[in-house]
Amino acid sequence: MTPKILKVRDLTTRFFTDAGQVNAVSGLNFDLGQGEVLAVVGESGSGKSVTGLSLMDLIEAPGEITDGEIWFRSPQLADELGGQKEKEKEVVDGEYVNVRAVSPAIRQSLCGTEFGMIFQDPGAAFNPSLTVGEQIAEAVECNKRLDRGDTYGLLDLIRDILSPKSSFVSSESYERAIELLDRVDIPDPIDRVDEYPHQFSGGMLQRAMVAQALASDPTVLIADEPTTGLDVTIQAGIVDLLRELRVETGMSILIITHNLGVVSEIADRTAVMYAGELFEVGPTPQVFERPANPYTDGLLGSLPDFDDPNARIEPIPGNVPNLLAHEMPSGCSFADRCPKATEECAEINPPLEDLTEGDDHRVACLHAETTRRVAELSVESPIRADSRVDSGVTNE
Amino acid sequence: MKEVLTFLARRSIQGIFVVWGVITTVFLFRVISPTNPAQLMAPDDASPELVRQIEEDLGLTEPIFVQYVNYVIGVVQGDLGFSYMTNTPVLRRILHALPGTLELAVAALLFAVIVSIPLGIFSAMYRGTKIDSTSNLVSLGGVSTPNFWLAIMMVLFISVQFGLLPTSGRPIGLGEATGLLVFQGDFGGLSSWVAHMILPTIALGTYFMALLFRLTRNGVLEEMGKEYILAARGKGLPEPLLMYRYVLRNSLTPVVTVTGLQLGGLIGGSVVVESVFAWPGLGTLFIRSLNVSDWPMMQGILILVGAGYVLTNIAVDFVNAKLNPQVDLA
Repeated sequence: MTPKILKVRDLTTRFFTDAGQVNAVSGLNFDLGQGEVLAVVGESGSGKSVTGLSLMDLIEAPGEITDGEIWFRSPQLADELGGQKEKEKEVVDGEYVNVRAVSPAIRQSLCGTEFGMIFQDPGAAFNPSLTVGEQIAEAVECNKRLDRGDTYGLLDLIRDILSPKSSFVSSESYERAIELLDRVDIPDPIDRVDEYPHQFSGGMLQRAMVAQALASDPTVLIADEPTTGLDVTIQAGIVDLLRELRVETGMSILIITHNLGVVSEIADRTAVMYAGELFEVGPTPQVFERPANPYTDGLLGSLPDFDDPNARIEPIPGNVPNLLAHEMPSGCSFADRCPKATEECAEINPPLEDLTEGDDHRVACLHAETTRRVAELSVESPIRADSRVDSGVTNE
Repeated sequence: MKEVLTFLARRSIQGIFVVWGVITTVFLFRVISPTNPAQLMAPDDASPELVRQIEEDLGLTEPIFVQYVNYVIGVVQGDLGFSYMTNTPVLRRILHALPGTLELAVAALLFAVIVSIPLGIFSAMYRGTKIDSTSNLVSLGGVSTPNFWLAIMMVLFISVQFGLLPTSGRPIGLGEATGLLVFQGDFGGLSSWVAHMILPTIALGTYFMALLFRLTRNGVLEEMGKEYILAARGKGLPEPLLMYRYVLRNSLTPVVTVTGLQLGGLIGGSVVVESVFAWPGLGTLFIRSLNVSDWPMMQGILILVGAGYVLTNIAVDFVNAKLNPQVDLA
């Protein structure tokens, strides 16, 4: 099995708004393997994007990552930090470094060098008053400078503004930007590098966004809705590009999307999020074919079926609950909408547990066939066990 | 480069039409004005013949259209006519008063820009803190304080009560003062110039400062919420560069526009502030001409104001196009 590049433990992000505390992400646990594509799916407002931003440390006030650890595998950095005795346990664990516990400078440099992010709306994620090439070159330059450990202060800025010869972006970085644009299949990169974002089409701009994320040669690429708002053909192009890049660079990709078609095409594993919690994680084929959580089932059921065009599309009734802390249900957050919900569901918030069928498939549902539950059932009264048989699942 | 030249050429032609419009309007004002300048110029006991004679000398007996054509031809040739009161060329009087007004306008604007923009950025960066609420309060005060009142209060306390700065006047211009310093090594001229400039500058600039502060703060706040700021942070862009190239640059458009228009307005001179400080600028000159119906002088000043607006507008559009590539010069 491939080594994990990222281990996220109990990641919790809250927003402290005037209306109250919003639990955008609550106690997230997942791993990302080396070279793996993990898809995070869920309805709008389920905390997918906040998860991505939390990993990038881009949560801004009134939001805050209140708890959790993000262990990133970097033997080199672990070596460097390992010498520091104090708080060592929290910061370094073998080859892994907890990026939430390192100094802000190291955190920032990790973001610029090891993590890359593709944003949802490329039209909004580029500065309209700088050329696309300049912005990609900036990313290249940032990566170089962070690698060298250079700092850039107010005095450097004043020097760069006043002196026509000195500028933040070097000509090599500019050359590299052209190469990157070429790599993401933008035609005539030498001409387009000097164009402004508004002169690019949506699809081209998304490619440029990918180029910018590649500038730092990232180990982990976080793609937040990379295909949303694009034509279907252009979507396919972006997905193909990501797939190619993954093979070529060996980077791991965390793709955040609500497009299940994209997921089935690219993702090795799929994580289903709902109301800021993980409901199900597993290899994509298993999650799609044998969803263990009623929510995943509902999500898949709300898709049109091309094999049977007459099949009914079954939307999940109701809406994602308000994530305000004082309005959150105490039990399972999906209980209100769940067809299988029992009284128990309204009281107990199920933890994420291994499913009996194994293969790294885990689910958070009281009614799922988890290993713990099977163990419990085998010692419980036979009546309970019978009721399981009724629901069509065998217990052997 | 070619783009810039066509822009300048086109805007200049448009500007000429605007100034022509100003000339015509101002001329028409004179025509419909009920006062007879000849009557005002003549002694109280002058005979009707004498008044008639003066009217003829001033060219007021000619048909209005002929007067208009003559005036426009004069303006094109750089001749704004003679002042009714002093019988000196209007252009010479205006050029004499212009430096005082320009010095004050530029100083007030510089004061406003230098204080407001950093304060606005600072206030937005530390939104909701004491710094922010204090600067907000001060700017609210600045926007709502009438400048004549501020001027009088400053004179009262700073000049009269404490005797720190002179109360009024402009004994020496910047040109002369610099001349003294360069050729005679005399700092006296420059220090006197500075001392006389401080209060009028603050009186005139406070309102703009408060206005620009609010524009900058709101602009910066708006920009900081944009997704490309997140994206730039994500790629590890150093904070100073982020603030300058991403936040400030994009939030400056309204600031530049307002600054330019204010400068255009200030070229005509601030009547109120110049009056309070007995500042020998265009504002004072205008008020004096108005009191005695010195039409050629008023026409000259108003044409200058119109031309000033046209020029600053062209400059504003030019700078905004440079700041924002989505704005096309053409």
